[in-house]
Amino acid sequence: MLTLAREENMEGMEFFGAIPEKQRACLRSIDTDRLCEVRLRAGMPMALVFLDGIFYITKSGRLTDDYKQGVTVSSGDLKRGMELITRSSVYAFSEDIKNGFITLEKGHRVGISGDAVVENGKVSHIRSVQSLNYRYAREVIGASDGVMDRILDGNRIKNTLIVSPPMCGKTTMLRDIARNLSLLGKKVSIVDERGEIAALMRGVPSFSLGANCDVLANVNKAEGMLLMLRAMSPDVIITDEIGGKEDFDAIAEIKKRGVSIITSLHSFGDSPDGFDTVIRLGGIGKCLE
Amino acid sequence: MLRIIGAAMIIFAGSMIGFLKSDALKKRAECLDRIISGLNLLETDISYGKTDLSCALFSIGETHKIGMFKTIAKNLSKDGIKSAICTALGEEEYLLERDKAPIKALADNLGMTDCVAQVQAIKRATSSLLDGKKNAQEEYARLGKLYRSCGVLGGILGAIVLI
Repeated sequence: MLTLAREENMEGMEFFGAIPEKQRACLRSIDTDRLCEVRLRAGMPMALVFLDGIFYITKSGRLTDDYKQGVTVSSGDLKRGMELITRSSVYAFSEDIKNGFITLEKGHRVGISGDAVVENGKVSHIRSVQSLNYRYAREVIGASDGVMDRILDGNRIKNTLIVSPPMCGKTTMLRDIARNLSLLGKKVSIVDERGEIAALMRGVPSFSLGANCDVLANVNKAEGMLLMLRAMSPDVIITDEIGGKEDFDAIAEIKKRGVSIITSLHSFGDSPDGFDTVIRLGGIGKCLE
Repeated sequence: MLRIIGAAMIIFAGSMIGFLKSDALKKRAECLDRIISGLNLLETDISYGKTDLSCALFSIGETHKIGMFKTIAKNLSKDGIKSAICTALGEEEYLLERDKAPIKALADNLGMTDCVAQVQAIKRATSSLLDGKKNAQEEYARLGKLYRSCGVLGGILGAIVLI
């Protein structure tokens, strides 16, 4: 059992402000430095995922590893959560809901699951939300300082693929690489399909990206990369989590035009599944050559 | 002299009551008209602009002087849409309960479904409000002048009785 002593005004109101009031009231004293996720599930206790494990929180705000003592979440709480996340404007987030998540200010992300409504073989809506997963985003300025000399070859930007398991900081690294290159005076174009790299809010990035970054958000990666290539004459295009054949075709086109590409790929442990996919699709050479 | 002043005050008070009653009928129709116009604009903002509900309500309320919309926008994040609409309706003194019913029904859905459902819900509310507005205009045409005349005549009658 672990009790956190730190009591102060709540940091990250963009994140906590989207959590229903009943649960938010219990989170006043938690340690946001170690917090990764807050998970709300109908009829179950609120779970807090920290770097060192999963904990539950009592009504008094005390952390416990006994889920029976945790503050439970009702369907009404989840409904209120959806209202807060969408600012009472579900219609404005219907595309995000189809993809299963909504990005909040400062890049925090809320995953949504429940009873999916399928039309023409695709998810059109999620009704009766069963769980919300609030993922806490962090900006780590200087995260890429140690790798910049590997990315830059004199004035040239090397094509770079970042490979790691989930939740290891690929997006954080990409964001900081974009900031560093932008500060060096390179024209950086970010294609932010899931709105996590720049987290645009009303057209303004929520993170520090320097003065030379152009962002295209919420667009299919392959389409977005080619659009930025035509529209913004970038020195480098940065995008997150490639995987589809169309992504590699777009990368090949970008390389033909002499523009560099920096991107990331999911993999697990010592046998990177992501690499297998890339090799199977014949894209690894196009990415790294 | 005192009788004359008293009579004048009774006539004035009677007339004021008549005019206020007549004015309430007129304002009910005007209020419904403004809400209907606001809902039409909101429908456009939702279906084409996909504007956030609070931004859309505030901007429409500000531009078209619809206090109810501004009140809803102000309370939206704190109270949620249903409670915000109920609070705003509570401040509308000229609307009757039957005028408020379609807006309360809209509060159950507003903002919380996709664009198509939003447009349908707003159209349903607008249609009911149009009936209410027609009714309010008819009542004003029928009773407005009557209330004013009754007020003045009632005041005069009171004054005569006093004198």
